[in-house]
Amino acid sequence: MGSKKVLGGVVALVLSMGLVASACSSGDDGGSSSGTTAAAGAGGEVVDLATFVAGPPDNIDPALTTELGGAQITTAMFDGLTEFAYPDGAEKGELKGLVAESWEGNADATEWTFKVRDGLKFSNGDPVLPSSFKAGWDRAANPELAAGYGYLFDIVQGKAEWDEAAEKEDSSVTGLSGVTANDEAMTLTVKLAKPYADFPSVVSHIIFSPVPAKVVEGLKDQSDWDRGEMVGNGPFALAAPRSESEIVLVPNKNWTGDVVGTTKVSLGKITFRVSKDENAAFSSFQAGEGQTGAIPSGQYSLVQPGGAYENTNTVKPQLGSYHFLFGMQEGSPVAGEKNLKLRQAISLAVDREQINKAVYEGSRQTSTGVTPPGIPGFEKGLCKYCAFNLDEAKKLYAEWEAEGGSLPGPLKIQFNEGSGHEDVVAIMQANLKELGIETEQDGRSDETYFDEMSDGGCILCRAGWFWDYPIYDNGMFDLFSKAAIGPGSNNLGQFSSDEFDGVVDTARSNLDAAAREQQFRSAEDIVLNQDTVVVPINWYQGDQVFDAKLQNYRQEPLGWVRWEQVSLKK
Amino acid sequence: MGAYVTRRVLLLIPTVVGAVTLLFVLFFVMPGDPAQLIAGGGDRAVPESVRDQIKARYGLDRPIPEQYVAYWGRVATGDLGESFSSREPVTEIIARTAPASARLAFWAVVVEALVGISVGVYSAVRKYSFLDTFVTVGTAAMGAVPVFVLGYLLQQAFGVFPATQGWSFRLPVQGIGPNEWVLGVFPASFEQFTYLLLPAVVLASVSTAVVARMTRATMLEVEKADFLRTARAKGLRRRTVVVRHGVRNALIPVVTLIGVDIGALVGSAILTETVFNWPGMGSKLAEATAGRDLPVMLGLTLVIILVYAVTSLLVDLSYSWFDPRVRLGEEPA
Repeated sequence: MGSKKVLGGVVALVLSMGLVASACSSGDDGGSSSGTTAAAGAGGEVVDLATFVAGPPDNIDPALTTELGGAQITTAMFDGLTEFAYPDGAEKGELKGLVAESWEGNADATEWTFKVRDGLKFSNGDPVLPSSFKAGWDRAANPELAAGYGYLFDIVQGKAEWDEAAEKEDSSVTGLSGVTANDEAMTLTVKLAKPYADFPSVVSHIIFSPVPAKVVEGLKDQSDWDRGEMVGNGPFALAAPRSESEIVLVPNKNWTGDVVGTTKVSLGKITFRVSKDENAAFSSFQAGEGQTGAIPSGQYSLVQPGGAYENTNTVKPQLGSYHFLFGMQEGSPVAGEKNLKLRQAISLAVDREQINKAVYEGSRQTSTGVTPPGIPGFEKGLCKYCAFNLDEAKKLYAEWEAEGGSLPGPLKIQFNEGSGHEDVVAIMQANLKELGIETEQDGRSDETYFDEMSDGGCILCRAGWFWDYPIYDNGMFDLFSKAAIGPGSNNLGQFSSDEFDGVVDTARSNLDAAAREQQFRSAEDIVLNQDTVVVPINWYQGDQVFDAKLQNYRQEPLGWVRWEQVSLKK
Repeated sequence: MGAYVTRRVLLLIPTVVGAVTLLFVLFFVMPGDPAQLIAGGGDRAVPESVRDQIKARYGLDRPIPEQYVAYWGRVATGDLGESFSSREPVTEIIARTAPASARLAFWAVVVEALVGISVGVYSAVRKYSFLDTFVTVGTAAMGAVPVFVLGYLLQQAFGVFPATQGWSFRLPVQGIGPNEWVLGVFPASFEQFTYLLLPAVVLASVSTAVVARMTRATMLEVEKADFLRTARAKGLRRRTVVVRHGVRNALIPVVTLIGVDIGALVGSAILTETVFNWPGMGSKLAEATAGRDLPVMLGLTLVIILVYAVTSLLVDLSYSWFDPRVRLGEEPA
């Protein structure tokens, strides 16, 4: 008798522990999760659950950041010479001076002089001077730091020499010889290795941020800065050194304004919480533990008409293109002038709407070219072979066959496995079968895919591209020029055209923006229409939802949120 | 006994060396260029020059045997290297993540032992009753549900559902909360306890089911033993028979199971910590593996092997307490 009671009691006690616990938790738990507004400072406190859904960022240091999440923090903490302005969520950006008051290039676009604004300060009170930029650039371009985006300095005079010296373990070079700072005149003069009219746009990239020279000189290890008290000149500053589980930003009291007229930060505090799993992070958002969330794959119905976040999402085009490239290297069955009609027929036969609906739940925008809408100079409908037209495709295909064209075997479509590209390729296979082309899936390991493709393995291969800065050149020169051919480079299809390179080179040294954009468009016309070496599929879009209390919350085309413009409705 | 412990500790050396060697070989046999990942590669190619600089920084350009020897040289001086991706010293990563994992594992073992053993004993004592059948079916189901599925379900049930209903009561679904503890493992506040509850239950789930089933089985076996019949014949109270004679004898295999399970918990912890965003070694190991972060993988593996070895030694030592007939380190005559 007694034993039953005792044992039953133990079981009951243990099992009920949980229930008792949760029942009692009601009071303080509500306070900890949704209490973010209660204890708010001036403009309220926000918890972000959208930026880091798969682990903490490796870096938030402007010199070292390579991921979008980390860059979100960096952009909030640092202001560069220039920035692209998207006032009120404008689709197309406009380049504006941020720390730079003005800039000027010489006649052949090989030398640029930036006039730096007077009186700006870092969050620790140190002045922002031309030499702060020189310090930041020399630090980021240092071969010893081995920064992932260090190659962006290749255009600056002195970078090649520095790399060479470092390779020979010669330590006599200690900076970029082409960069000169004059703190009295408040000018930064940059000599380039080659003409580059878009250089003022390139310096909007975070790697060109200024750093407080005194602070970084005192660092024991340069790669350690962003785990301590990193100091910037942007709208926000670190509340404390970042931890593995969160990064907390507070307004930088020394900040004076941005490129769209914001002069004061409204929010009192932003806590970027780091999650390890996108679904769990979204559960956390739904449970009210934060004000922003990243939409997990498979849940896009939430932002479509009738969905819970129909009006509170950031789904708008971003600067990313998803496309397939034709292998144009010798020996590729689709290369050459003689296969032009085949390539055009293939591009016409791909049903991009179907791919967007079936694979992406309509969450992307079907593309009409490689260059996305957020790029200055963008023109809609540039591609003549990007709208699904099976009849026209069949006609071109028949002409190609009549002219003696034939494929040696099933056409291989290559992609990196494990990110849903299989589904896109499957639809393309069905599309091309309609045309009479037999195809074969050729999935490769994610780790070796880009090496194999850039080394001449591409026949019809998937690629994606996120723009580093919103300029036309970044999606032309970096993807289709001869300079971008070779292992580890991004011209996977090894498209090589003197005509294309000539047009891009002229554009790169053309100081007139409108004329330059026109030239880039004709360069894109070559890869899309004249030679048809790319099959654009879609443009990436924003992927966040947010609490209706957040005002002015949007993702800019480059992917990040300008938190200084965001406020919280009481 | 002393000699036995020494021998066991010495046996650790080949275990650790073997595991590290295996990881080293696997890392370099795996396809692809780690420098690509370290540079943040992702969806784009990384220039050769950048990769060369990264390789030089981490010594990845040296021959593999040389890197291997150099690694042991550093480990001997307590230097586990720095993370490829965050460039943080591995010893700091371990110092930060190990306590969180230890706390979660401790409570998982407590849940597993308390719930598992009591349910198992109860089931055995009331065998073939409705509750016993219920427990049998329930534990089978529990053991079959993947840890992360259970995690998502509990998050939805105790975190998201109450929030959508506007209830003031709900459990947090992410993170470790205030991270305040008394005596290392006891939640310092009620809020802290709410953060611990779901992850601990989920981490314990599979093992609890196994422990319950095993306890039931061994209890039923012991019940038939002569010494129990003798105990009953002596006219002892049923509670004394069950607890003093039955449970204590039935527990030997169960204790082994729980001990060995501390190692297995690390496996489940990878999933549990990831789903609940618990800042421990498991989620860090998952992250490091995905990012090909060799120094972090090696460092965490070293710690996990050591923990596993020490607990299994303690389990072996505890046999002699549970069953005085067991003599450690002596060859049977």
